[in-house]
Amino acid sequence: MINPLNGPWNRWLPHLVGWGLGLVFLAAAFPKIADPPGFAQALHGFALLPARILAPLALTLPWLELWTGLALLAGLARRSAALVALALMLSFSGALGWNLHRGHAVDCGCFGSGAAHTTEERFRDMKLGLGRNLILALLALSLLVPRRDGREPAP
Amino acid sequence: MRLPSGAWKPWVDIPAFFGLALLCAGVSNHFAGPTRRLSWVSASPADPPPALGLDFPDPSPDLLTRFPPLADRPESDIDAEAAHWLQSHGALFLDARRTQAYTLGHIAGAMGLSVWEGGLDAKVEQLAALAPDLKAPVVIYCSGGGCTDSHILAQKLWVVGFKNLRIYTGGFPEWEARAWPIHRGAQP
Repeated sequence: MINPLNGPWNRWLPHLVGWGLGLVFLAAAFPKIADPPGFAQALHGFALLPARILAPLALTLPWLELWTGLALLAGLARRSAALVALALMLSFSGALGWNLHRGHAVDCGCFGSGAAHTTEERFRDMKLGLGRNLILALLALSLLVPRRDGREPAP
Repeated sequence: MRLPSGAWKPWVDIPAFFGLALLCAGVSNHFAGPTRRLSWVSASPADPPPALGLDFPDPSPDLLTRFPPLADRPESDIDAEAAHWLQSHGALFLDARRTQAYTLGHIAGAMGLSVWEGGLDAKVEQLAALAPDLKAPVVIYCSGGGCTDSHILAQKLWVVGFKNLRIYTGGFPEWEARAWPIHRGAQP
């Protein structure tokens, strides 16, 4: 019986995951690069960070997402880009999860600042965002672990 | 010992990612317009003095009688009726929302002073220098519903000497819902 995971599909899967993850990171980066004050405002809403680092973070983080996305798309330094992606997704998930835990509704700001929402809409978006970020983190992790055939992932 | 070519070198790649991000952030912020620029630090002496275009309203003598300066705290919340009374009696209103939201509609006579756009500290200092009376009530509002931008602006104003800061908690959505006077555009 043919095992589909041993065929050519297995060879292309890391590339597909990298491209998909790269596109998500680019989609997340562009709106925030276009509006740093909006992203700073969203970060402030999480009530987790000292005020003095909000501006540097709001300016730098979207560009880090952009370069991570480009590296994943191009297949350059893929494992390092996956590691950065994993760290970012776990950080965002932690921030969302902590605010869900303490009942503090925030606008995620993950894909740029949007229209104002009600508290119920914010909580719903936070739960969806948390689930999405955890899935993306797993995808990033898949680019870091050794393959089923024992070969190391491409650097 | 030399690593084989193609070996994973995260200690090279990851700092390169951060370095590129920092460089791009600096360049893009330098060329950003005033509503898109952030100050890397809270108060940047490199910011040029802003042109506030201030035209302070003509306050009624009753303002200080009904809303005296706050002795024990920087700010105090007010409801819609109090805000409406203050607006009709010439109190200074400050809109803490983003410039785009302000332009789409703001309380009539309110001045836009976004807390998230560049040059805020210089604008606040200029406001304090030009204000005829730092003890007169100043009403600050934003988007209501738990928005904290008005409180952030109030803290900055209190630091430069304003003694009578009132936070209109309902914000622009409540004012607009009551069909009270609003203006659109960049001017108060």
